[in-house]
Amino acid sequence: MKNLPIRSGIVAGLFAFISLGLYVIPAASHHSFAMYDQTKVLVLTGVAHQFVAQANHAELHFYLIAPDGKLTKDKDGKLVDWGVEMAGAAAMAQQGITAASFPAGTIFSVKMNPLRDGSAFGSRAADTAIAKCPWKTPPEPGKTCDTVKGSELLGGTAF
Amino acid sequence: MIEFSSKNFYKDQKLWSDQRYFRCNTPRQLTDIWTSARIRFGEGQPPTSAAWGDCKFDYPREKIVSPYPYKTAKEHYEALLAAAKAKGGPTVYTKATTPDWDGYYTRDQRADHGAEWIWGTVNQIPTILSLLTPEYQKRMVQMNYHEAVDNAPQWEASFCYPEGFMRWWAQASQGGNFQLTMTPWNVQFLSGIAANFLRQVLIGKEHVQKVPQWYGETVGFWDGTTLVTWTANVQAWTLSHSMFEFSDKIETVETYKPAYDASGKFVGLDHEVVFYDPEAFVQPLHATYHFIRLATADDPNRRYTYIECLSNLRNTNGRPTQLTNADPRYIDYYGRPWAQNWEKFFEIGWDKPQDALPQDVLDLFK
Repeated sequence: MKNLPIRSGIVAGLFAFISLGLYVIPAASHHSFAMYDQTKVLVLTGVAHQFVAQANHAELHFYLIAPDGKLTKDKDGKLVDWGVEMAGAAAMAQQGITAASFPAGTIFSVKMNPLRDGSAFGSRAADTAIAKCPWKTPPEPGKTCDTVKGSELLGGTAF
Repeated sequence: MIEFSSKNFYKDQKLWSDQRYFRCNTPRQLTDIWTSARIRFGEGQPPTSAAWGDCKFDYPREKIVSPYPYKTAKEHYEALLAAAKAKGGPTVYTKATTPDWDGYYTRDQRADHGAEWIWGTVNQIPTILSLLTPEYQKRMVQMNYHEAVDNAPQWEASFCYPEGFMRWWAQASQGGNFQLTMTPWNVQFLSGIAANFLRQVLIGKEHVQKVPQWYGETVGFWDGTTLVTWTANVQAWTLSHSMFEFSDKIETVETYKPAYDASGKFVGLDHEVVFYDPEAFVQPLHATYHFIRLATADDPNRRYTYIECLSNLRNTNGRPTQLTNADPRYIDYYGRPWAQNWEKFFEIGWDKPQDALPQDVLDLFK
């Protein structure tokens, strides 16, 4: 699948919920998570375009859905591309999170600790599930996939 | 007085032997201090709001240094070989008689096995520093400072650096959770989680490699059911995680002995290692482990998964930072990066199929 990457340090139009005071130490991490601001949690919904099945830390790359329910675009009209890193691909597979379960076009919501430098990437917040919408069924504008009838929670019991 | 407010740790050398300089944190606590809620953001600006550790918590230095009289690995190995010869050894095995240790092992985390000091989890930093020569003390404090004060860790796996020899005994490397393959001429340990550790004990051989190897060159012999090994020709590297570096003078002598349960069944291996590094250590160091055999080689489900370490972390302004795929340095390993290169440089303006997302999905958001 081909990417349409754009620079997206911008957070304009970001459907984000930020909370303070949450700290996370990912289990069996292979790099320090000090680059992530663990005092903040973003709640993002997007459309997956690539699952990166890295052994050390799998990643999901997605195009961001704005609070108005539209795909977020930058000033050049390109889709805003985000990524979230998780545990290793084998561990994620045990949670049902794989390239097969997240094909391009999958709509999902995720909570993440963002990079301190503000660029469009984060680390999945601990003890949170990924909420996967039913195929081609996005949430109502401003809401997340866990509110959609028939959605799935993967990797946890609570979004 | 306190590292976290120091502007230049080099000038504080006289304070390095005082655990309060490190606020009584263990090395592991320092390396995690920015990610473990131990820098209080609400009470002053980090890093000066860093937490204190337990000043009474330490592991005795005398349990870390080698209990043996040998000054070098060669002297140690030759003494063990002479002892085996005195008993008619070394023992020579055939394919049929080689000890049946094949299988999959894990560290026995329940045992007081005397190796946690390598993990940086049980010591005050001055205790570890006291094991090191002045140059290597300086290097360790440099790491402590830049991890804890500058939040600039440089862990191996961040950049897919090699793990390095001593990391086999580190906690997070999982070097000690290995697949063991036994043959008369080669005993092979294969392990790793972020990168692969391949250690081969060549039975009855001598060191021949002329340049350092990432995991050294290991020879060995059998003394009955005890495997004795000597590793030399090791590439200098670091334990990282606010611990210490070692030099290419490092050598080890190790023993592996079978462990049995009350019924006499083989259940694992008792391991002892002595680290000799006259350049980095003021005297030889010592650790012991117990490895449990989780499964034999005929287990239908167990595999060793070879690791290809892939990373898009790069140092940005001195700190490791995850690149987004908008960054020109980003490598899309799983997205046909070769094709992306051609498309970026040689297919500009071409009319070609678009396949990023299904069109019917895109239509949902119009």
